Amino acid sequence: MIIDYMTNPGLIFLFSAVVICWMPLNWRRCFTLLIPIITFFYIISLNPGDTQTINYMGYEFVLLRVDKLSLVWGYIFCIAAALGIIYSFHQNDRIQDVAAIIYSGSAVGAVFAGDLISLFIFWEFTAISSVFLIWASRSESSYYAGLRYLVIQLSSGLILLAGVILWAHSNGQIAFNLIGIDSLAGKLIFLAFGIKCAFPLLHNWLQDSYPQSTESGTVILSAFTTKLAVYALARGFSGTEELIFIGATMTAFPIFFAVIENDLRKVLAYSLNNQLGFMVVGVGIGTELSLNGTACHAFVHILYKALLFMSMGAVLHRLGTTKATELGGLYKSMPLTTVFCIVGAMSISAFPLFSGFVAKSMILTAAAGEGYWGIWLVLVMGSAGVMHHSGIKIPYFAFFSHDSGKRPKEAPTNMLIAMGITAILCIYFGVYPYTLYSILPYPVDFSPYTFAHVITQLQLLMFSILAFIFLMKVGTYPPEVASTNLDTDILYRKFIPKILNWFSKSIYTIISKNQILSDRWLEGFVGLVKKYHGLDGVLAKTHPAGFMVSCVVGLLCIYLLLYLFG
Amino acid sequence: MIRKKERWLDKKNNIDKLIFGVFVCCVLLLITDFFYEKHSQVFVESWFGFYCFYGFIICCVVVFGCKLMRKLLMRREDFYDN
Repeated sequence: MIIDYMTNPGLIFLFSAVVICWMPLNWRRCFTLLIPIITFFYIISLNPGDTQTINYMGYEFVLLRVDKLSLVWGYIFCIAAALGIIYSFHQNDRIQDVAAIIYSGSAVGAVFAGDLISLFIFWEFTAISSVFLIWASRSESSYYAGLRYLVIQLSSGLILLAGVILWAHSNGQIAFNLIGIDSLAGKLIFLAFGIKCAFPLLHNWLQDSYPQSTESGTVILSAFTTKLAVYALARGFSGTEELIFIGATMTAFPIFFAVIENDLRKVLAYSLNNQLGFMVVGVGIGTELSLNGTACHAFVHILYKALLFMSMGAVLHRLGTTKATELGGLYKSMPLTTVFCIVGAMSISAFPLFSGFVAKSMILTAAAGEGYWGIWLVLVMGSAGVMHHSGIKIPYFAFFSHDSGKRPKEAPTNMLIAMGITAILCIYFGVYPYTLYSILPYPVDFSPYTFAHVITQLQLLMFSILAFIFLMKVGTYPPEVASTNLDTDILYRKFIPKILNWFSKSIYTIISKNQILSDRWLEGFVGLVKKYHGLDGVLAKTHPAGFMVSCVVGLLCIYLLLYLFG
Repeated sequence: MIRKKERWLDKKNNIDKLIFGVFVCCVLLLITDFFYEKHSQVFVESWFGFYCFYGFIICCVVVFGCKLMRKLLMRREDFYDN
């Protein structure tokens, strides 16, 4: 069949969402899974260069813009949505199903939007729909985390809108291409993308909200928002040098937080931050190799991060917690989940033959090739760090470590199927990366499996494991403690409320202390108003119509006289 | 009642074997450094066993950094609850 009318693939999700919200459970399950599959095949049928434009109010709205960059994100978003839906089959939650479809659909829509206003609309859709995934836990803490998340996401949207308006005003067009940070509009758009991409100091919404969602909600959430921001940065700000330093910071600092964090889903949220850092560096370098590296890394990262969140979700589903202090020894009763978690851990650590390896080495090679050796050192540090907190910590503390005595059942079948498919994909792209390389934005002239690459990576990883063992043996490794670690969220969860509280209290005190004075002021003010607007006030008097007409005539006469003799 | 089955990993002896295995792998990987030609992009890469020592040291530094961070940033679990 030849498709002669093309439109944005995200709209398939959005229109289907209207239908599925009325469907009974079994129908809904089948249909929600069909949506990403159909969209995936539709995206395959699209060719670079396909567009759909609408002219409206003097602007050209590009509803569909297909090129190799958008296609990479389009494919992986559909795969992630399908896997997330299979993973959530065991639950019967209409709101969550619909929110997941709208959320993933608007992310797909944003990727194929070719103008800034369409991007903004899809951008806001992702923000609003995703908060329902956080609220889906239906706990008090998830409610407040969702509110905080919503405020931050909508702020990002507002800043984007301001930037887009300025951009449209100064350039007279709204096409979403290279923007740069030279203009104020560019800076605002950059900031909006930066919030969603969890730049340092703007990052904490991620660790605050994602672990509050349900087991399947977090899997869906982990795939879209931040990777959409990476796509937007790659489109609008590739080659912006500031991104290299921002990205390097992102790879380094979350390692520390991840190591001391007790909640393993929060550890994964910090590690998500660390992985985004690699992609941001790739965008900042802006060469063909680095942008390929970013696209490739985003693709494989979505898979292995989803796999890790899935395995922790299975633990959460069975035990109701993912706190390291309450887990341990679960491999005895959840062997398959353990294996899948280890596959995810090896992929994120970039072991040869696993998917992380074929992507991360591209970005590292690009950074070294462009002479950023300081950045390169930080990225290698990030690679060793990720081995430490995601590669070892997650599987070790959840499934091995000290035996908690808990023997939960193995994860439900649908979860195992979703994890199994994701694990196979992680290994497939690691063993045979050329399928992935063939869809990257630029031609790939890169071979990850050179002897030197494999050996150096194994050296780095094995010695990181050795360091872990050494630190555990000498008792230096920080033990798991039930605790909260302060991060930037203390600013808006403690300091700002305290300041506001103090401010309102001080005003109240001043008013109550000066009660007599304020009463006198108030009386004076009311008296003044009464004098002119009260019953007998000059301004409130009613006058007979005849008198008013006489006044008007009088005024007109004066005006005429002035006109004649003036 | 849950049947308690002895697992391979339950024996301390086997864990020691695993650790020894990791150690042997590390030594072999370090020795491999003599046997291939390096095409270093960054000057430090040409140093003997750079990745081995960097990986090991970085992990130790991170852990010591974390111990310090815990002193500064760790609060009780219900810190934000009230």
